[in-house]
Amino acid sequence: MSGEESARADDPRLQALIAFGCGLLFAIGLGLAGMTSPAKVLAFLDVTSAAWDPSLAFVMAGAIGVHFVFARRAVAANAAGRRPVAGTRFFLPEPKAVDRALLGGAALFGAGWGLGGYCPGPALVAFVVTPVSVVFVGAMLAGMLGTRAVRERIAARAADRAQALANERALEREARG
Amino acid sequence: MAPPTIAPALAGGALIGLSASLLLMLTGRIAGISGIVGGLMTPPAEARARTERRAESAWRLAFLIGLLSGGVALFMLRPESFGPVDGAGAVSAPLVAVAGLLVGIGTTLGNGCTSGHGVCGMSRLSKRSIVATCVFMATGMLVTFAVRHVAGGR
Repeated sequence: MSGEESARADDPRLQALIAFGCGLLFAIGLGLAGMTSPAKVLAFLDVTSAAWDPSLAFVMAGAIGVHFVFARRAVAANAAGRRPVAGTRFFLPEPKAVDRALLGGAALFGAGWGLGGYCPGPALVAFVVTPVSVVFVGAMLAGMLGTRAVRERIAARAADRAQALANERALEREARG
Repeated sequence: MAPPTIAPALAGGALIGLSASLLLMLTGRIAGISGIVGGLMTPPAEARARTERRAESAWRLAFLIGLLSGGVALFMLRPESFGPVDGAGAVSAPLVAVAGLLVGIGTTLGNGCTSGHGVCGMSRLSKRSIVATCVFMATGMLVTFAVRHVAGGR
């Protein structure tokens, strides 16, 4: 099978190749920026220190400066019903209200970031390089899996309870008439 | 005290923005790291068919392999990217484990991290992402302050 023949616009292999390149570029960006150094991250978060290092604020500025332009284009293209170059559709999150899960989750995430100096991307970039990031990534994956499991159990229990209540009501109705 | 590094920070940030832009414009996906990893654990609800699920995992895995490969390239070309060579400012392993756990729980509950909310969501002017970014920056600074200046260093 020749490459040209199989190169459908939304070929999963093409998507994977693009994703690999983007991951590589993302990692180089994080490293160059200084985000992969926990010491640098903590020196940035330590705002009250005389040795405060403001550098990392410029990472977000640089990233948003570039992405702002393209994110607007993607939103507009999506609204006009167009597809991404090599994809079936734009996977843009639906607008949702700010809720307790978002606030609590962001607060816990920030606490972990301030404690260890790693956020998920840089920790994965450092994964094969520094032993401490292996500890971090292991714990992070456990936290992700655990939270998902608890959330699923809560959802299942709520569904069970709703079902039990519906059954009870049906029985009551039967008994009455 | 290490000197500020504003130019590389801006340039690195621009590369991150470029990567997120390419991924979005070419494949339609959001470059949020915790979301990319989380999607490998629970396939998104819309990917029901087996082939869809496989394609869904494939691009996520490929992105992660790219991230790890980038780490290796950085280590060979610019090892100082991973922190001071003398290990100054290093955090102890048990503390790092607690930190990782908090980050895993927090990014799952809050649906995003520095990349998903801080870069991608903020760029779309998403209200949730702007709120989340303010909150995680605030607690990050608070915890750093508490550990360094109240508990008396690490």
